Amino acid sequence: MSNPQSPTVSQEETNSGIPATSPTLATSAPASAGRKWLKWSIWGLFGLLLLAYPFVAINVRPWMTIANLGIILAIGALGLNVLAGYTGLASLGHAFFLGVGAYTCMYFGGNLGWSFLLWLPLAGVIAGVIGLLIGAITLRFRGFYLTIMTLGMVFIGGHIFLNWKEISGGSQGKSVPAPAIGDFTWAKPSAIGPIDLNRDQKFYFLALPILILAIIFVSNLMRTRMGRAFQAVRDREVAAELMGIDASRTKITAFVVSSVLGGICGALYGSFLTYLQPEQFGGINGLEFSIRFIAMIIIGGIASVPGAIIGALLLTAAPELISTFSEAIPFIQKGAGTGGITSNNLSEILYALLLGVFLIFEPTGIIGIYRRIKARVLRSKIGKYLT
Amino acid sequence: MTTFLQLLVQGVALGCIYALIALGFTVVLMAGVINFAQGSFMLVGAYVVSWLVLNMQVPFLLALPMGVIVVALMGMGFERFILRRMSARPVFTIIMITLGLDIFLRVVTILVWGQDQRTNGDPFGLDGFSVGEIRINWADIWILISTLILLAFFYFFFKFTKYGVAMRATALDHEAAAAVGINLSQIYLITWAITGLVATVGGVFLAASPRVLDSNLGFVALRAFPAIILGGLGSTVGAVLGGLILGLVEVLFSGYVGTGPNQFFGFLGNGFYTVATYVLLLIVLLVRPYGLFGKKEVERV
Amino acid sequence: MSQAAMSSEAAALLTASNLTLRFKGVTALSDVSFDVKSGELFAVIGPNGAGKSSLFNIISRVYQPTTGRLSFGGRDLVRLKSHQLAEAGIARTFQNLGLFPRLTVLENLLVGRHHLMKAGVIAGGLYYGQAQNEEIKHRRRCAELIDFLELNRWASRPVQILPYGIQKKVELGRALALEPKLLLMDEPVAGMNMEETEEIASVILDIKQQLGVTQILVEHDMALVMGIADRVMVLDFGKRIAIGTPSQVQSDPEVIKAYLGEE
Repeated sequence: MSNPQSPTVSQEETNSGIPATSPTLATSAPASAGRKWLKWSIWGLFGLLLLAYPFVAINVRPWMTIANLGIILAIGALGLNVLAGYTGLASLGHAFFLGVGAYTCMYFGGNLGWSFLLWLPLAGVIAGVIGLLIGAITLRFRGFYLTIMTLGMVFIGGHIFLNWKEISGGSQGKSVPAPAIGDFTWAKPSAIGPIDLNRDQKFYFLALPILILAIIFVSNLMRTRMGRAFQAVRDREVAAELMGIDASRTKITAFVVSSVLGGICGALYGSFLTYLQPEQFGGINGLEFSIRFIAMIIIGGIASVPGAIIGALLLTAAPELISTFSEAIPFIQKGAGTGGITSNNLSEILYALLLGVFLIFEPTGIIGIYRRIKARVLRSKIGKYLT
Repeated sequence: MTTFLQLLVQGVALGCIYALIALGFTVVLMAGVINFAQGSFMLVGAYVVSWLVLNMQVPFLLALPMGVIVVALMGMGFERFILRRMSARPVFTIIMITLGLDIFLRVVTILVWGQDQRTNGDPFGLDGFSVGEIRINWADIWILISTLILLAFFYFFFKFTKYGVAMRATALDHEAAAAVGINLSQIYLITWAITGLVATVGGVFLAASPRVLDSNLGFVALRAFPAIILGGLGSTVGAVLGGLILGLVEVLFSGYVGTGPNQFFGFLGNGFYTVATYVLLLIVLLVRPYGLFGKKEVERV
Repeated sequence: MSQAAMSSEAAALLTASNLTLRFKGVTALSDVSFDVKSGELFAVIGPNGAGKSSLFNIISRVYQPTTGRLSFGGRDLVRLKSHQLAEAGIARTFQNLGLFPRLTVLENLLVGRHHLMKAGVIAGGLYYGQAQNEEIKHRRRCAELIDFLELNRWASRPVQILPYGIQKKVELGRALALEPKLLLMDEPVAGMNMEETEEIASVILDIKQQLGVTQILVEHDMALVMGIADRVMVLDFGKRIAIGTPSQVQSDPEVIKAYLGEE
């Protein structure tokens, strides 16, 4: 990852809200060769694990679905974090942009049969252009106004998706094309050299690099001029304006970045699910989908790149695991009409409780807990030994 | 013409319910919070009343105030134990905590009372009378009367009582209100109790025949959001008028817009009425950015 | 050439003529005129509610004057939006701190250089050649400023956890990072103890002498103003009641009356 090279100042504690562990510039010596080696070997090991995962998880339901959906939704969560976390604008309309992306994929990939290499970027571009138009109208409004306008966006968008039958297939829905580049398609298994890959594994190796690119892009962005402008507008709009930042243009820019990532996420999401009904992105379901994205960044860690990823993976894994292992959980209904609660209800209630607990007691999310533990460990005797 | 008058009657009845929901939003907004859980408050209120009447054989006129008390206490509890500790947090967090409460209450309602549809236990049923060819249900008349009573009550409350005036002062400027000796935590509790009151009444009437009560009832509250902006954020009169306009627009659009016989603008699609209010809101805001009755807020540095 | 002759001959950097500001029947400023010369340290004083902050908010384009003209280096300031001020060469600090609390000291200073940088979203996200060079260059410049203000030990801390006095200094540093021609300071020593006040005073003098930046200061601390300002303007109930050197103003009967009240 290419990070800004800071000549004198370490960037590690940016936005953490936690005292730096090395208190002065004077004492923060350049990382020793040993520590650098340690850091790289941890990253290398992590990379190997990511490569090995689809071969280990493939026969154990539902781990492959969790990985693929989690990776795809993480791209969208990252996008929402740019808007909500870094720029401080609460949008309930993120699902709408996923819908725009998914229908771009359906139309250009399905109706017109274009290559994945064209429809995926196009999903981002079209979502971005629509984001620009909507942002220019709605971002004149502040706080509650904006939230309600984005709510309107989900309802109006849902209505359009439902009625634009040529693209969406109307209320019965329509199938979504699998990614395809030339003759190579993600619809069925194939052998690459000596390795046999099934559809889910192929999807994993497609989605993961896209997520990694998105992570690098957002991380770099937040450490450079425009990313700082987003955060300045979030923290104090009047002061930001006096630094030469045009607040309304900056907000619209953040809205567009968030929409582009939402669109790409939506295209991959639709393509992975293979069949979509327009209700998924609009109306009440669209609103719930948007709220789920907000929950991801709150539980994972607001205004944090790893936070968005962790939140997306966690909220994807939890309901899948509950429904897979519902047999083993007491009080869960084992079949229709046998009494007890459904696994769906259980996931919903856990989700609401989790969201509430984090909002009330741990607003910095899982990343906040991690940072606190890290700071405590580094301050302790073990920490002194490590450094 | 008959169709139009019939739709007008339905529109006014629905508009009254929207007005109550919008009033609930606006009152809580006076305490600086937008309550996305309003829909679930209505849901819980309607279920409590229905359960009291149908399962416990409590008379409807007694069950309704009991439902109001339960939901008002719930609202006050939420304010006292959860919202109060979040006072310094950003708007975003407050929105999310009420959304979280909304999900929670809806799931709990499903767990307690199940997924099946039920009636709300009101005594009106489908009884009614006809004026010429126009059919009017007793339930609609009761909605109108209850709404008028509540509005009259709130008018006097805000205008003449100590707490009502204090609430209006608080809505204008929390710090200034505290500085002149208004007990803010008391005011906040009252706003949440009022929300419980209007939510329960709105919820019960929303579930009145020919509609039914199920766990989706609360989603209607989301359609009422444009009302509070349409009238101008923070204006109670505006919220009530906004609610009425919304009800009329929705019912008229459901009657006249679509692809059916005697319907127009088929290209807008069936079910356009569910989003018509948001489209209307968008148009109004483009012309009048602070709503029909709102004033521009002056930002202080 | 003597100091006095030089300052009287120097062109006015900021000229305010007949500024008036009214809110809903309240007149916050009425018919205020003054000019500030290049390189000058100009102070505005007055009792509470005299209109000092209103004046500041007009110059920094938060408020629009009801009537009156304001020109800065020949440009009509009233036509500019507040986000165009930085480029025009005006920076300000706030009475109750205008820092970005969750950003670090270094990042706060870098935001100050926003208008001097170019990278957009795509360049920043990709972080290729030009964007990278620019980022490194400006980080180096901010590190120098941090050095100048002796803030090194706080550089990578989020400002919200720093002591108040340090935050005030960071805000000054951020304003300097804009490389302004004119620096507006709204009560830079409010809420500070004697020692911190002296430190800020010496920084203000350094800014004047080493960086040559013109400064306008609104301040309650009379000793500070009289000790360091070149000229002082006194406002009372929105009107200008005196303008001149500290010693002229101190002996002005109107000023004495405004501060001591009528006998």
